[in-house]
Amino acid sequence: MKELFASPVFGLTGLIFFFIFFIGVVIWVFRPGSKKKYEQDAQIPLKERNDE
Amino acid sequence: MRLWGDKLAMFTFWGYQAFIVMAALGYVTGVTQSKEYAEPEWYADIWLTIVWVSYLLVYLMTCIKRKEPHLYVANWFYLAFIITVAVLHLGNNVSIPVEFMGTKSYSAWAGVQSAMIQWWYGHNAVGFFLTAGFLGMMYYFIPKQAERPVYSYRLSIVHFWSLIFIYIWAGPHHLHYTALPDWAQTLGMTFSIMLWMPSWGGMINGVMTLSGAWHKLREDPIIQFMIIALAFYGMSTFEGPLMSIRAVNSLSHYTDWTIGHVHSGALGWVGFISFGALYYMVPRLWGRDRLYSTKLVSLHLWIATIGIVFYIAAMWIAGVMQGLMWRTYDDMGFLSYSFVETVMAMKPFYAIRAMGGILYLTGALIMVYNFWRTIRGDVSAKEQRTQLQGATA
Amino acid sequence: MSWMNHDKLEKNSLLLLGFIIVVVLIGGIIEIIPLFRQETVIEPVQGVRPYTPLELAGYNIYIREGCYNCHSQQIRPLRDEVVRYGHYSLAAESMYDHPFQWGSKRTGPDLARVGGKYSDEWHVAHMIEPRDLVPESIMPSYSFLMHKGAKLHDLPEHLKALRAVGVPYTDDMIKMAAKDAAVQATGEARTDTGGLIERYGDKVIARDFDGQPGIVSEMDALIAYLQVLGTMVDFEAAKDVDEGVL
Repeated sequence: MKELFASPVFGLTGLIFFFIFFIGVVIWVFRPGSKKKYEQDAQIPLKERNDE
Repeated sequence: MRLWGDKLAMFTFWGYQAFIVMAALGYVTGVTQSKEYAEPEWYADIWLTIVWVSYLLVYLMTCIKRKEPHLYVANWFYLAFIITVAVLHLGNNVSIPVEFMGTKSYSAWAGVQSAMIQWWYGHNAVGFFLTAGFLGMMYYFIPKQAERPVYSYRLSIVHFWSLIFIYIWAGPHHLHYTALPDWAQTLGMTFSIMLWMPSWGGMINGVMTLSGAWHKLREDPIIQFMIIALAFYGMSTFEGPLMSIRAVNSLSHYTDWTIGHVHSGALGWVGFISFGALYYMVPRLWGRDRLYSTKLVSLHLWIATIGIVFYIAAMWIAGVMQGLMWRTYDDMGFLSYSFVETVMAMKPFYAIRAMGGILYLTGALIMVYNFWRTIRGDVSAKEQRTQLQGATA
Repeated sequence: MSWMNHDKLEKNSLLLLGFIIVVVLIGGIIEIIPLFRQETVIEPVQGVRPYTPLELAGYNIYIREGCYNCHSQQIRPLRDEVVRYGHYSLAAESMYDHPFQWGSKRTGPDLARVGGKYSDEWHVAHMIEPRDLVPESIMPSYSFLMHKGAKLHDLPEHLKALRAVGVPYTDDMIKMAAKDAAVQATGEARTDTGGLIERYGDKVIARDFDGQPGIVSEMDALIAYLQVLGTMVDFEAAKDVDEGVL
């Protein structure tokens, strides 16, 4: 386990993995069709509730 | 809706106050673990753990029994703040007391390992307490005060996950050129530079919430507080990555530049977003239509802003100057300045710093006065006039 | 498709909490765990030993008085620092500090190699009134350390606690801790230091640090600590690890 961390291959693999993962997350978040849902979510704090 | 667990919430509040008293008593009596931001000794750490678990429980249970189906982004930041601080606190404070009835303990970690764990803790106490927690406040109070939804909810998702993932790596930039292995220093530097992006993403998201309603920035000093908070956040999250570069750090480390950097974040970002949130909350909590005086809010804003500018400018100059003096050589190749000469050079800047701090404190006292009058139900003469004008208009 | 939304996370607090924990643990694990493989982190150098009981009492006074707030103990391998303070700090030199005292701000100078730089008399005078020696100094006075007796009787407990976290104190060292401290602060002229030297090596400095023969004061302990700082490694013998000097 410790040897694994020290190897240069581990670092490069990690870099590529996290880079691709990050790009994937961004694409997924900005995918078309999700806009409406996000607009609703953004309204949450502005809704006034009288249920206290 | 109401918080879950009234009694536990009360316990969290008073328990945390008790922890602060314990910590303060430790400071003045020399009871310290000598770790920055983690000075309190083992008994206070155990107490804080109990209080923190009850805090998490109150927060989580309130989230779980919510009526709104979705957890708004502000809540994610708060959850990340609470849980990560818990992890950091437990990891950094592993220690063994010398005796059960005594205050002294020895850390389980020594030397290089204790340094790395301390700055993993220390930097992320800043990252998750003073950044994530207050970003949660930003994501709620700016839309509330501006009466507009946040600029981009998508950006807030990317902001959140990238910020919490990247932040945790940044600690080793506090240990450049030390005995910490180079690979760890390089990781710390790389991630610190990457951290610039999510930080500015969050800042832009907050500021752009006003797009289409920029007139509010001109008219409402509470909005001004929040936007200037974001400006200081943007400035210190640009400065931070800069200072994490090894070459820059070789100059800035051990000097007041670091102190200035911390205070532009603490006074500018954390302070101002809190003031904004307080100005929003106090009239509502006490059932008042408005604050006693909007003009005093403006006065607070400008006095505090000038105070911070004095403070951090003095620290920048002091830090860079001392760093440069330490590494100045004369024609013969000897060091030009003895250490104490570099201390003497700090004097005017410490005076300016003190003045900046006094201005900042004055601003806060103006706020307290404003709240006191607001809670009493007073409305200033000017405020009544504008109210009348509004009614007739 | 609901799984394609952030929905799952936004609707399930516990799942969100679990995700957050995983995401924030990654960086810490990768940076911290490999550091516990000592042989690649701490260079093998000769001479670093655990503190003697008196030095340890001094280390604790150093922490109690908050010295670390203004003084660092970490010389970086930069030209001016090596000229001003001495050889850059090695990882091995703080391996028995629970916790490290590297500091982060130099309101006063670095102390990593202050040991042996000044005489005991200089330290005593400087602690009593720093401005008597350095007129521009902004350091507070610590004269009270002269009159306060160092707490010796619980030193065995301290050594035991440190042994529990990995410092190689022997049973003998623990048993004799209080006596060793008193002996070190008295000096070989007036007592038998044989046992102390047998346990901690012949480089141990045993003398009356504060110049007050009748008392083992906190000043004795603090100066014993300061005088050993940065002196344990024999840099002549450790030339091999010097290759990296900038």
